[in-house]
Amino acid sequence: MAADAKILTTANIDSKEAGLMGVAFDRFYHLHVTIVRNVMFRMGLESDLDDAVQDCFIKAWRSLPGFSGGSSEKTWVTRIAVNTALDYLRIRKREILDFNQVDVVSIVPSNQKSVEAAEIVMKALRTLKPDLQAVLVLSVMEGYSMEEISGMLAIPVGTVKSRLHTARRETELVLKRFGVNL
Amino acid sequence: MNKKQPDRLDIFLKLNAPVAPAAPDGEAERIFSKIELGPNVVSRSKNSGIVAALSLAAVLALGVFVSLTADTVRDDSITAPEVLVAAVLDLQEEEETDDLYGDWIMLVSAVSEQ
Repeated sequence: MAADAKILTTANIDSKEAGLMGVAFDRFYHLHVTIVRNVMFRMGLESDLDDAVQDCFIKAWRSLPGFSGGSSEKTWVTRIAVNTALDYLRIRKREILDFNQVDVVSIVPSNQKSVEAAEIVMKALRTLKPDLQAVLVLSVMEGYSMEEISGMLAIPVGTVKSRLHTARRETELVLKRFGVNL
Repeated sequence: MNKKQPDRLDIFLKLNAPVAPAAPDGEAERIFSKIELGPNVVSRSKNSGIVAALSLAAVLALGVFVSLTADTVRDDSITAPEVLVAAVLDLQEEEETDDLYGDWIMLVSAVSEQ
């Protein structure tokens, strides 16, 4: 958090001194682009990923002056990314993969990382409703706490726990269907 | 549910988390250029020429109108009483001069107030 704030402050000072706001934005972008893209991609944005990333950064940069520092800058940007992704999914009315129609593939050892396994995880995520998916991605893949996710999604901690429990259970069932026994 | 199961699931998901394709080249610059241009940039840039032309035309028309109105007011300040007197004379041909003079005073007063 402190490191993020320091970089941002430095970027702002530089931009004011040099009159180059673009330099500040470039730093801001490169600081957060990986997590923004990954969160959005894991939530199911593919063909519209670049558009969503662009929207996220425009929103974040414009509302940056109102950022209170109540959370880390990374958490704050991730919140914007998740909510932008949910907006895209709502508008697009993304088709959720039918659990019963998911093709069964070869067994993947549960302790092994492979391209095939990543594809299976992606497919498993797509079978979840966006709200469940968001909680699972933020908690398990990005490592945010229940309280942080509660703040990001503006839902009670109890709801986060309940959604996470449901998401885990459903994901496990889909993975079993893929032959992944955990 | 076994306590170990979520852990193993978490490890598997984290280990095999899908990774987004790399950002296209120059994405930061592209986004920043849109930020600089502000909201509704497309419609604004498309219409800016028309808006400027209409604004100029409106200003010119207003100038011409004000100029003509000012001339008319100046002319009226000279001719209005005569016109009004003529109108009164037309309407009240049969009336006495004192009454006519009274009407004339009332009309001139009304015009002056305006």
